Amino acid sequence: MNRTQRARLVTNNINRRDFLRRAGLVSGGVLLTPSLLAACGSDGDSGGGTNVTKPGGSPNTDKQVGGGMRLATWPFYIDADDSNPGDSPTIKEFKARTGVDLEYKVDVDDNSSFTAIVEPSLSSGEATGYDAVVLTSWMCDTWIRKGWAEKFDDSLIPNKKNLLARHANPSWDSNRAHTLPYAEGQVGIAYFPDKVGFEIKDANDLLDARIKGKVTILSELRDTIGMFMLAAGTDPTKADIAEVMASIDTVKKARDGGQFRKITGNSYTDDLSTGDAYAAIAWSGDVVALQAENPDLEWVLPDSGAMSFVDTLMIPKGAKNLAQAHAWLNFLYDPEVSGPLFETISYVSPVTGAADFMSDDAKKNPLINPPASAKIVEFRQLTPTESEDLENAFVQATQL
Amino acid sequence: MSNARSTKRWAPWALLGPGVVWLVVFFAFPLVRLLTTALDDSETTRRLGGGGIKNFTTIPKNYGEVLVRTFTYSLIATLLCIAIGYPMAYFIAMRGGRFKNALLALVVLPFFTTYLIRTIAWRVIVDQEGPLVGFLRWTGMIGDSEGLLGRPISVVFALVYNFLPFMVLPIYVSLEKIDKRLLEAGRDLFASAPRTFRKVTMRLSLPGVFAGSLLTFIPASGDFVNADLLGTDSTLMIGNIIEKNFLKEQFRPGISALSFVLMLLILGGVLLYAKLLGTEDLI
Repeated sequence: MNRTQRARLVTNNINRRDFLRRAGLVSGGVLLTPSLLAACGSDGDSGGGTNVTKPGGSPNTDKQVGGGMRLATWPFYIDADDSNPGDSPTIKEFKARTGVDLEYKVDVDDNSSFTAIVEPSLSSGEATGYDAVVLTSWMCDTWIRKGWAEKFDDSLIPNKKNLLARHANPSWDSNRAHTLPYAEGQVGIAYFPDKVGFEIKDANDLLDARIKGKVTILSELRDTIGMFMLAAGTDPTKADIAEVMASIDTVKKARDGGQFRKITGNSYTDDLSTGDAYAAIAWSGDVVALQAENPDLEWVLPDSGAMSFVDTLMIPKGAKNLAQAHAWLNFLYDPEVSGPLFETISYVSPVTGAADFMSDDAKKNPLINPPASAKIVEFRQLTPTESEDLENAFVQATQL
Repeated sequence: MSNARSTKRWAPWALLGPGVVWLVVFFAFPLVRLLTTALDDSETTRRLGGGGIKNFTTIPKNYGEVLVRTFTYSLIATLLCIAIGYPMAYFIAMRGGRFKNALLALVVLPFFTTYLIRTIAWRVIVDQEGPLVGFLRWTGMIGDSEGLLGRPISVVFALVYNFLPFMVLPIYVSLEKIDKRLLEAGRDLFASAPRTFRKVTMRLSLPGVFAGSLLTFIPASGDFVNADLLGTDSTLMIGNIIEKNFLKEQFRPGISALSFVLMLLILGGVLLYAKLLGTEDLI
């Protein structure tokens, strides 16, 4: 997935993000300070090895474990600059509560290429060097099928009960035995109403002749085709193959007619901010950053529905620091941790009650807390064969 | 005595050794692997419309258009590099005088900035709000709402910019080592300056032009950064296709075959060029 190749491009965009990160860092720091102080205080009172009491009085379930662990994740997923994760209030709090040194590595740039790198270790039964990884749910499905994901010890993750009900029991990982969502992103439409000149309601409006050559779509099968399926009235959660192919064909015809400026994973944000693209299928996390500089940019979750992707945590088979990895998962599922973190990174938290720990602005922001009425769906898990066939058709339609 | 003789016999091999090992490990072996991957005949590959030699035979149909576009862009970029680079190199070599080294340093100076940043800088230049677009709109050469970003010309010019020093330096070297007495001899034999240039200078500098062309054309043909950052959907080059798909397991055989064909086409082009230019030695 190219979603975060944007990380290696030094553009205005990143400076803007940097700014946001820093702004978020300050606010996150303010929010977390009381609990940090409390954590230190209680450490002094009772020593390590006991539960830490939070200012609200409710004991949290984190335990002092000590040691260290290494996490592989995507860019822009923590409340600090990716090059200095040590500055993250969340990571500092994790250390305070559990004593675990988290080695935070922004090593995932793309689901397939990351998997290709660790595959030799996984298939020969050796440790990958990572104790937890964050990959998109469809790739987690593949990992589980191949037996590459450790089964969780749920007794070490009492906070697992805070998982949002809609994520609780996916068909490909019953009762979340091997995976827990890290963050959910929405796929919607971002556009400049004044430049487009008419209201965009769903993906079909992106094919309007009036904005020919001014539209960008994502080079992700599930995200882009899912949006066109919803607009066509077909259901990506069931994803009948013929219906998927029909939407791929819609995209191909439009592309042949020169409708799209770019079909890309990363640089669409640049095209929007320079004014070369008027409308785009976009990722919610990007739109938060873009809107900071382009207040005119409108975010649309179509009535017909929008897609989501869920980047998901797993413990790779053979991981050495299992207790630490479980501690990290448990920590993330504390709403008091999740709220400020997700307000800063601008993705949707999978933790019940996280919004209670966000500012009023963030609570109202549909990009971070989508309205309950919004129809946001995930693409059905495809079998390996289906996935290969559809990816092939998608590449043929969008690249050649 | 016999010791000395055997040392003599082994010395060349010992000297060649590291280079040969390097070539075998990092060139020959990967090349063989690429070829075997390209000939993959697994069930998946067959289901996706390839399999064995079919991975190659389907290339013209699938990638023909992108291949033609790629070579057109790199050819134009190479010719522009010669057109811009030759006079530059000529000036430095023949008229540079005591500024020669300083001028050469200026040619190489852009390399102190990374490739990616240089290419992103082009975005700023050809941007909607950039000075160039403003000027072109003012002259009326492009419409008021039109831009340059995303047009083939942006991609080609960025290729020229990024590879120009690779053209200038070899041409400079070949011009520099021309024996100036030959030029004087030309004049003494009543050849006009243009004729001397055509018959002497240019002929002697052809190896430089050839080397520069290789150093420009080959990387330009495989480049994906320029098309990615400055182009649109309709300016994709073959490097973009390879970059996007090589790491996806199901596409690897087809993309390996494509990489192989790209390599053969470039090799063929280079041999043809060498024949046309009648030069065997590089520089």
